[in-house]
Amino acid sequence: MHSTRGWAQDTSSVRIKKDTVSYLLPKALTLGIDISYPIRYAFNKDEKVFEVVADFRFNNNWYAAVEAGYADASQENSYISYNTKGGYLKLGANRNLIKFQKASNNSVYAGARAVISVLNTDVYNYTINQKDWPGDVSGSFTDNSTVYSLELLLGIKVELLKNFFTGWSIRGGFPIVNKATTDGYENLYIPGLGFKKNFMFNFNYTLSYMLPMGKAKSKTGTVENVK
Amino acid sequence: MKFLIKLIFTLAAVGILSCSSDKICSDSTPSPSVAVEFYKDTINKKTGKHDVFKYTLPDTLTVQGVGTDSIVVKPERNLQRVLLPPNIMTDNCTYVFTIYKLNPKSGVREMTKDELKFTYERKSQFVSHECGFKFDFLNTTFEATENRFDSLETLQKDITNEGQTALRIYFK
Repeated sequence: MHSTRGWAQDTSSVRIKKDTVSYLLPKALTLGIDISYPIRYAFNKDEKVFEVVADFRFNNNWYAAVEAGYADASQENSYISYNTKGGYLKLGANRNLIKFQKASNNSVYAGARAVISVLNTDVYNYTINQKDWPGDVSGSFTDNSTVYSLELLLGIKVELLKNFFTGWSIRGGFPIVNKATTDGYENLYIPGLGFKKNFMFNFNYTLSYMLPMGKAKSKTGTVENVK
Repeated sequence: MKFLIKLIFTLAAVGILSCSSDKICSDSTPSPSVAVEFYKDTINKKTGKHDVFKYTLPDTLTVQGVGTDSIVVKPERNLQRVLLPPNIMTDNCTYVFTIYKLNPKSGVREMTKDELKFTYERKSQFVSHECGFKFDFLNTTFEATENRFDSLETLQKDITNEGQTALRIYFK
């Protein structure tokens, strides 16, 4: 009995939460372009991607976010060689994670996206080998496919010059609807997510410009939540 | 914030590791073979009933495809199960079973031959990025001569997995 009562008192005394944010950021539209893919292409010619990004800030914490792009990727090995081309659209939201003392356009955020990728794959050569009979069989086919995925991300956006931003995000992609096509072929490249792996990690690096709709306002006094 | 930075670095590390996984195909000939098991069906003299059992062939067996130099089963004794790959270039193929039996009375090795023919439809099937495609063999039928073979029993018409026995050969 004694111990139970003691625990209850402890929690009630700790439950005081202060919200020290005293400003309200204006709504703002930010438009940008990814510059990581051109840099990556210099090191790895397998993947060519062009991506533009945009987000809209509703308030201090919530952003609607969109990325759109076009990808062209190829891979070759002894058994299968293919090229995949296609566009993608990512729609979702970002939630700001950090409360700054003063009004700031910088943000550290977590986000989620629904991703649609529309792709055309050309398996321009596959070869099936056998060991106890002479001869191998080669073939080719083309396929169209639509893949629906979920993407989770963490990102950071920093205002370098007034209204000019640079941003990083790291992303994990999870294909939800990714149907096998010709003879059970599974899409080996998904535009927007990358080459198929157990865990589809991706990132981007953007330069962007913000169009604010007004100025940061201060709230009337500090808001305190006491429970 | 500290937790967040840790999380970002952990995710980045996992991502970099997953980027550098260029796997190599472990089975460069992934099309399934026909798994053939040897059986014997005798009538038990005491009970008068059929007695079916796995038969380990005591004689020396060699199996070779007709039209290939490659010997699939090298001369060996005491075999009960063999794996015979269908030819992926054609819709049928024939294997020759050459059996040497030592006659205990004369001490002479007597040779018998049987032919086993597979007829099938080929269906290409995706395996993985590393290994590409394989063939599955559908609606397979089996025919054989009956020198040492007594009869055939088809267990699988669709050959997709060589772990499952597709054919029983009953020996005389």
